[in-house]
Amino acid sequence: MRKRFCQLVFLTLCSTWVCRPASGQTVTCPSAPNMFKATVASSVSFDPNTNLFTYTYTISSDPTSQQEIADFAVDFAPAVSNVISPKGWTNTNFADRNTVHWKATAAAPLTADQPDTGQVPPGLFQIKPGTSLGGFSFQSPNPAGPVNYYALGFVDLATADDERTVETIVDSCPGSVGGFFDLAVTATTQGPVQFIPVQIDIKPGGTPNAINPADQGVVPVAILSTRSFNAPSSVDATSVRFGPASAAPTDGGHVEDVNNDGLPDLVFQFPTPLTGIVCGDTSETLTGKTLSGTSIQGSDSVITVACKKK
Amino acid sequence: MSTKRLSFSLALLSLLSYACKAQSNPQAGLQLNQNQSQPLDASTQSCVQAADFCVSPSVQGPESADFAACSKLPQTLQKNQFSAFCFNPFTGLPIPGVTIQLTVKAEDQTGGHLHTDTGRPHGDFNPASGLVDPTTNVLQTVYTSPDTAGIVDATVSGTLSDGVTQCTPTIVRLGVETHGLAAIPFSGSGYGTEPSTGHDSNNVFANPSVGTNLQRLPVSFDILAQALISAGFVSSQPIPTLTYLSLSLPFGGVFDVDTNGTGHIDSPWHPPHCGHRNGTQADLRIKNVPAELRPALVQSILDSHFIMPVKKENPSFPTASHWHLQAH
Repeated sequence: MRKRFCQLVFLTLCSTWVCRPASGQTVTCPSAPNMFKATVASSVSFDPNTNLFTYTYTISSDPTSQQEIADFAVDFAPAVSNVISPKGWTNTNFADRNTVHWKATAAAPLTADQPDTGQVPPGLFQIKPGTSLGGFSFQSPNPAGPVNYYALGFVDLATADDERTVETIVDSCPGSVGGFFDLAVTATTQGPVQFIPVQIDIKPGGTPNAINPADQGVVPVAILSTRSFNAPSSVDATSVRFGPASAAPTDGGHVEDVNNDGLPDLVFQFPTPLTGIVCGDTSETLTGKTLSGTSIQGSDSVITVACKKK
Repeated sequence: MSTKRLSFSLALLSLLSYACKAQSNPQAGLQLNQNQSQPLDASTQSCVQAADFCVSPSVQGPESADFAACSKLPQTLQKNQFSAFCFNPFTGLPIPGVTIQLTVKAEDQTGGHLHTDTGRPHGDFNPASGLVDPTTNVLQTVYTSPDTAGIVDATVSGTLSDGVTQCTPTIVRLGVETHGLAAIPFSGSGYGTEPSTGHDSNNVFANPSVGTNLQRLPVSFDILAQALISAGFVSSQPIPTLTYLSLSLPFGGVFDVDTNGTGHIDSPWHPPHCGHRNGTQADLRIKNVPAELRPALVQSILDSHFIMPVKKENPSFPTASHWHLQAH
C-alpha cells in the first residue's frame, strides 16, 4: 500500500461580489464556493486476485475554512467500479466525462417555520472546518498516477425576484454562478491513469532534435527525473520502447544528469533503423513501465533530415 | 353563336386582357446581395421556415428599447444587404428613376409565437425608402434582424419617375431563425414539460446536446433520490416528476411569455426572457421538489453540465418559482 498526502488547496477568498451590468441594474452575486482550505489524502492498494486497485480518499478541511465542503470529485482513466460514498453522500459520474462526483446530499426537510423559497438546504454530513471525512473510494484496473480532484464549498443558490434578474446574475457572476469545473478548487491526487506522463529528451544536449531516418546509428533518449519521479530507480529498463515501431534499446540504460538539474536521468540508445521513424515525423514517443507495473509515456519533438523534398 | 357562348367568350377576353395588363405593369422586387464585402448571414438555401430568405436573429436589435433590461447581453446585430428595385416584366431589367419604399411587419403565428401581437419586433431596413442608384437602377439597403424569430413580411413598392405609375408591390418573406434546435419529448423518464402562454408546446426546443442532458438529468436525480430514500436519509415518498417550464422556441430568439399571471400576452410586446434564445437554457419548476431532495437535484444538474442554478422567486405568482438552468 502506498500512501501519499496531496498538497493543499488554498483559495483566494472573495466575499460577496457586486456587479453592475451595462443596463445599470445592480445584482448581488453569491459567494464563490471556494472559500475553504483543504487537503486530500489518498491511498492505493492492489489485489492480485482481482487485479483491481482500490483508491480511497480522505478530505481534511482547515479550521480557517469559511465554508463547509459539499462536493468532491476525482478524474479517472476508465473504468471504475464499486464506488463507495461516505455516510450521507451520494456518487454519480459526470455526463461525457470520466470524473466521479460525490456530494453531501442527505439533508433535512424544511421545518414548519421555514418558508420554501426554492432554497437548497445544506447537507447534513458536509465537511465542517477543522474536520476530516474519509470513505470516498472506488476500484479500477488502472494503476495509480497523478489525476485532478475537485471540491466545492456549500453556498445556497443565488436568488432573483424576476426572470430578467436571474439572467443578469447568470451573465454577471461567473465566479460564483458557473460550471462545476470552473467553480471548483482543483489540485492533483492519486487516481487511475492509463500511464504516468514522463519527460523525455531525445538526443539530449541540444535542439532541434534532428534525426536522419536512414541513419544506421542509434538515437539516445533520456527519461528525465523530477522531484516526484526518480527515473533510474522507478523505470523497468527492460520495458522501454521508442518510436512508431517500438524499438527496444541496445543497452540496459545508463544514469546521467543530462539536463544538469542535479537529478539523475536514465539514458537509453535505440537503433535508428528499428525505430520506425520516417521523413516528416515531428515528434516521437517513448513507452515503458515502472518497476511496479504502471505504464509510463513521454514524447519529444524531432526534425527529420536528409529527406527528399517532394 | 348562342348568347351563352358569346357571354363566356367576352368574359374570357376580359380576363386575358386584365392579365396582360397586370403583367405589363412594372413589378417590385428584392434580392439578397450575394457579393457583399461582409460575410453573409442571410441564406436562400437553408431556411427551415417557409421563407424567401432566412437570417439569424440579432441580439439587441433595432427594437431593443423594448427590453432595455436585457442590455447585459453583448449586442450582435445581424445585418444583411439587399437590392430593392422595380423591373420591366418584359425585359427583366430594373427601371431607372424609381423611388422605392420598404415596409416590414412580423407575421403572427410564426416562429413559435402562436398569438397575435402587433408589437412583435420585426427588424428594419435602412434606408427604408429612396431613389434607385442611377447607374445600377437598384436601391441598396441593409436589413437588420429583430431579436425575435419568425417570419417577417417585407413589402417592396415603388413609384416610377413620372410620379404616378406604381410598381406592383412584392411581399418577400424573411425567415428569422436560429438553426439546429430540436424539441425534447414533451415528457420522458422522470420529467414533463409545460406549455407557455402564447406558444403552446413550442417552448421545448434546445441545442441537441443540451436536450440530451435535460433528459439525462431526471434519470440521474431519480437514482440519487432512491438511494437517499433507501439509506433512510429521506422519508419514503414518490420521486417527484421534474417539470421544465421553458427552453427555447423552435427557431430561437427572444420569446414573450405571460409573466404577470394574467393569462395572456400583454401588448405592447415585452420579453420577460432575455435569454432562452439559443437552446442552452431551461427553467425547472422547484416547488414540487422537497427541500431535502434538492442537494441531489443540484448534483444531477452539475453532472449534466449545467451551471449552478439560480432560483427565481416571485411571491406574487408562487407557481412561477423555478430554477434557471444554463448549459455550460
